[in-house]
Amino acid sequence: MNTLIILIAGLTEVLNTTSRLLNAAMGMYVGSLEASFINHVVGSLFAGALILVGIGSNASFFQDISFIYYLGGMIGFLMLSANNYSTLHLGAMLVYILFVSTQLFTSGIIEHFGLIGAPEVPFTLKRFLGISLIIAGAFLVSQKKTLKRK
Amino acid sequence: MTTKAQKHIAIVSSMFAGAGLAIMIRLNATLGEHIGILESSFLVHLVGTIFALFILNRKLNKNFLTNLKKPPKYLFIAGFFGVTMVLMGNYVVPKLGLALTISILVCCGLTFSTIADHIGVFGLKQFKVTGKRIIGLLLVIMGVLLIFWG
Repeated sequence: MNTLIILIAGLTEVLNTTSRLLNAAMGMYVGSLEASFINHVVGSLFAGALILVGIGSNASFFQDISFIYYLGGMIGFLMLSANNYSTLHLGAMLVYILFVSTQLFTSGIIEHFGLIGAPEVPFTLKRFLGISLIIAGAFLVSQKKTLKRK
Repeated sequence: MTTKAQKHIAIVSSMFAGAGLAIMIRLNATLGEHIGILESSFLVHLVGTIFALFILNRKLNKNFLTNLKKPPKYLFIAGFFGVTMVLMGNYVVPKLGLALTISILVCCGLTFSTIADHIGVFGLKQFKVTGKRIIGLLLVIMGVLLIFWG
């Protein structure tokens, strides 16, 4: 497997975190749903412009695939609302642990059954242990040392 | 105050959000395999925008437009990060598989936020690196390796 691809995957998350931070800051001015809306508008314009200048596959937008593949953006918006609601009632740490756990297990299950266009990869004991270790590690990392007041 | 019912809803919705993200990443990647990765990123943001319009329609009034002038301009670049992020995700997922990609994302996110906390970026609160956090990160890396080899 290519190291470059793994690096790109890592960089994706760095962008994700930066984008979330910017979004949170934007949310303070205009509200969190509105911030997500602005994020999507700017993103659409930016990606649309790139496609218009000819960077892209030139394939037709509408192929013979199920309409569910076009609904990713909807899930993204719902996810943000769920996140805002939960953080308010549970605190960021617990929400993050629950979020990461279900995210990892769901991805394992999707691959085990080869759903949504994923090639089948069996959910082995090694995978189960790996996911459990990540969750345990994430739990330790999320325990920040609170600064003592002077 | 948070009632018991709200807490339960919050737990369930944060778990759904995690599952939703895993599903969304795979949906976007499969769409990208059919219509091109940039086109997929564009449609994800466009569908998100349209969906947000439905949810926010009453809130997008004059008040919103005046609020738009308040935030510093650089906060608007979150949308660029969003597009690039989805674009790279679409590129990486078919090559590495979903579970491995997500575990790398989690690992890099935790490492990046530990460093960001330690430095205190964007004028945010500073949290020094602790032994607990280092052990946590090592566990996470071990977990990723297990999934990589699994």
